[in-house]
Amino acid sequence: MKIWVCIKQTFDTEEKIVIENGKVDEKDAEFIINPYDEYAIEEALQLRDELGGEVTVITVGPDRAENALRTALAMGADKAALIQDPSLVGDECVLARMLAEAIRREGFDLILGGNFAVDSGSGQVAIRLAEELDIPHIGSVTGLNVNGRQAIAKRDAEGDTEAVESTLPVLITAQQGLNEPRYPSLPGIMRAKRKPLERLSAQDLGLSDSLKTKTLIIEEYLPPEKEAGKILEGDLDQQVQELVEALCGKGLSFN
Amino acid sequence: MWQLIHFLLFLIVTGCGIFLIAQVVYRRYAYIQLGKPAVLRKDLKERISVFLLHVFGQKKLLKDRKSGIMHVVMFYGFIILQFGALDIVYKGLVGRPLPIPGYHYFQLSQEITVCFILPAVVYAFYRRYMEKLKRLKRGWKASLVVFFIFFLMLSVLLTLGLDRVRLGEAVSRYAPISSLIALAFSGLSMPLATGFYHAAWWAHLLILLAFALYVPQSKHFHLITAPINIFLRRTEPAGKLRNMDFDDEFSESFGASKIEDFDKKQLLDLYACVECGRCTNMCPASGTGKVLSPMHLITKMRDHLTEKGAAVTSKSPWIPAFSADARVHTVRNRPHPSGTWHQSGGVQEAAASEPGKRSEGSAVRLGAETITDIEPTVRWQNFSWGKTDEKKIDNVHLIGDVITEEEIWSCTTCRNCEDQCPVGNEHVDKIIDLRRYLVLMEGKVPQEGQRAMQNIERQGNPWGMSRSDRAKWMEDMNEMAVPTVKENPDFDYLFFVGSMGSYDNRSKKVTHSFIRLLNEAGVNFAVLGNEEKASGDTPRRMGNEFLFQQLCEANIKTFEKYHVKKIVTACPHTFNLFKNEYPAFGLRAEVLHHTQLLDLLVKEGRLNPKHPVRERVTYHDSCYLGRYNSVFDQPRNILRAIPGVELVEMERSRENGMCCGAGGGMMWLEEEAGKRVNLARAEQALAVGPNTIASACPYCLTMMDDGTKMKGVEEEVKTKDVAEILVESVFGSLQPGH
Repeated sequence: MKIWVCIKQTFDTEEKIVIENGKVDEKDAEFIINPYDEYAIEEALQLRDELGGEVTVITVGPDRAENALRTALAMGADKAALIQDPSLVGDECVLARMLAEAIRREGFDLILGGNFAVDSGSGQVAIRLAEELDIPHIGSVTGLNVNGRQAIAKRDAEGDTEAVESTLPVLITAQQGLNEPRYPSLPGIMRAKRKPLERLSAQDLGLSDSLKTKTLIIEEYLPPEKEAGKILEGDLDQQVQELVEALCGKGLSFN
Repeated sequence: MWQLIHFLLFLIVTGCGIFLIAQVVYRRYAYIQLGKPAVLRKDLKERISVFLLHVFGQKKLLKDRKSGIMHVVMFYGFIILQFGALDIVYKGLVGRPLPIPGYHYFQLSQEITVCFILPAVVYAFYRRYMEKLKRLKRGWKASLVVFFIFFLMLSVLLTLGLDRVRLGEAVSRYAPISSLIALAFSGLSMPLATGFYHAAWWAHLLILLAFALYVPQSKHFHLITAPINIFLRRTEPAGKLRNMDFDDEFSESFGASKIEDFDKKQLLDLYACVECGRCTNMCPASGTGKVLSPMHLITKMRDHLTEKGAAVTSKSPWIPAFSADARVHTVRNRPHPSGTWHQSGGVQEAAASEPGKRSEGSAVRLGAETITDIEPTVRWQNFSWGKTDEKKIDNVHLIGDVITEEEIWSCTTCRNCEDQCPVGNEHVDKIIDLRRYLVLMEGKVPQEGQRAMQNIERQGNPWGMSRSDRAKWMEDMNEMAVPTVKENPDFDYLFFVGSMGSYDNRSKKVTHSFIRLLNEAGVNFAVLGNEEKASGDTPRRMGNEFLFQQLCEANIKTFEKYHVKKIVTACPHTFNLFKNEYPAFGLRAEVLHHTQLLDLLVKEGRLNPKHPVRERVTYHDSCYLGRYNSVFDQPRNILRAIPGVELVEMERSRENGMCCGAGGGMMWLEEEAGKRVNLARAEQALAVGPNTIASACPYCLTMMDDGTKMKGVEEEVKTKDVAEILVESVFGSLQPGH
């Protein structure tokens, strides 16, 4: 079985975001695999170990993204692909097109990705990829069973759990709770250095001019500084009074 | 003619005996040789002094006075009786006693020794089978030695007595017992007496040889192995872990997954164990219903080594081979997630909610409820370890079938077991070797532990909080001077704040107090701020040597950059690591724990504890400060220097102080099995009725704090760092900043 995992290298969740010259400053930042993508990798490895086949991790990103791929290889993925081209500054639409092209060329049975990226909050790429490849997708999955050519997924549906059945090929996005991602072992880290990692450019994929971003970033800025909280004092009536005043003062109305 | 036959018979029997004994010893030696080469330091002087202290001084044995005195009697008794045995054998063959000057006195010494040994044997029997010490096994095997010694003593006395009858010797006050026996047999005819004498003589010889053959095949092998083990013990700082070489291209496996992965000294430990159970008796895991029992850790690995060794060398360990039992030992029952303390939830809640009985003032005293109990764990170990038909020795995995992961992840690395062990065994490094395999080779770590290590890897602290927030604690220092290494490059002391002291809200208060004291005493210090990283104790103790070495190298580089010569830290784990384990990676600096520096400053008069602090204080020893580094007195000195403080000791303190439960990375793991260690330790502290439980370690402080909260006594009993109590005395408790 050919299993693909689409991953993104993101800032560590605890990283301080600094804006320099209107852009997020990456200097000194610590990068990790998007945590939701780690669930996807773990699930792919477990399925491969159970059913056979191979796991390819793929990402679109700058040079530094190789580290994320190597980590995935250290966890146990078989090979990796890095789509990298300075001419490609993509939004979700472009990323999905590129991934689709790369994956289509090699063939696929199952594609896994994270539910969303913790940096941009985007959850579109994987699902757009399914559309590009014209296959079904099941999003936000917390349990997955693959039997022959059939996949049964449990998905998180706003507090409820839905069971969804699909035939392969299918694209699955991983939600927290799907599994506990493994810690790369030392031999895994050693072996990862020698595992194949293919670098692809837009030209390699036969894409270039046809790719146009559909979105435009106007400005990057930090959220406004949070105001200090306030604990209301006095007896209940006073507190209610104070609360009403505070809320009205903020321009809220209760109509 | 008879003489000659007798002599030849003696030669054959003794020759065979010695040959067989040599065989069973040699075979075990061959099993030990399966291990990796051991690196031993040459400190001969230290080795000899340790040998004298622990072998001839029996120092560790006397930690348990009753059993210790019994052992001293047997130990010296046996040495003395060896000469007597030689004399008996010689006399039976040659007809004359050994040419010993003052033979009368020699005779007397033998009889007196027997008089001491017999009651000691009875007492040993009493302690095992009547008093039923929980740490001792009670099978029939354990009683074998008692019978051996008893009949050996009997045969000695009978031989001596009948010898007197046969030779018609008069009653002698130098041989009171044999004279008495001679009197009892005085009616015997001469030939009959001679016959009986020879029977007793042969019985003595045979029992002696049988005993000597039994010794290496049982836990009594320690007669031979324990002194060797003590002599070869590691002379490095206590608990120092071996460095792993990741640049070695030839090593394909790290840590221990097979018994042969241990080094020969570690394997010798296994045969030195005499199953006294003193380690388990003190183990915080065994005492609170975790499956780990340090004694069983050793004995299970010993059984496994013997079986594996027999298979690899194709030499049976047993002579005579009683049965062709090819079955091998394994753990036959998986541990229960709730540990061995099966009523664990119930016990814990009941214990936690039962209000302490109050006596004078606000002090809280506890009733006679059980605080710790090793019995459930000992029972589980004995029950689960046995022979099975289901596996062949090749399929018995060291991790899983001999030592379970539950045992491996229960150890707090407190070293109480090692401190107790009379034969100088080291348990902790074996557990770490097993962890190293699990973590480095298999990536198998309890989930929360993995997260902590990943966070350390990424942000340099176990919570994964931003590393650019590491120095944020400095914002809360009010007007106090906290120079960084950049602001004060000519500092004397680098104050290494550590992850707890930087990020943890409770520990930050200790940092605050310590800095107040440093400023008051005019100590020229500096901190690293955001350039500091986790020390690496958590990853190292959890087996992630790879991450530890990365942190270690990064920290040393930072120290070199700022020309650090002296380091002080409020964390005993950091202190131990920097002092004892960083030097192997190139750190050259004097390392102090904050209690050592504060003690010094008080002694020099640079800090004046003038305001009385009227508290009844009990001090909880940190393992890494106390047992690892013998810093017992400095924290106590500080407390004693404070007017008004009444210092009371817990039943288990100093070397015997029980762990808070957080060491060895356990701080970051969920403690689901059995009773919580910190609850048990808090109960031990509350038993002496303190108002304040003092400690000198951020982990201990957290654990004791949680412990008093679980008992619902946090209002009456405060938990404080020694530095915080000192601050109250130096500045008075109404001072701002408190």
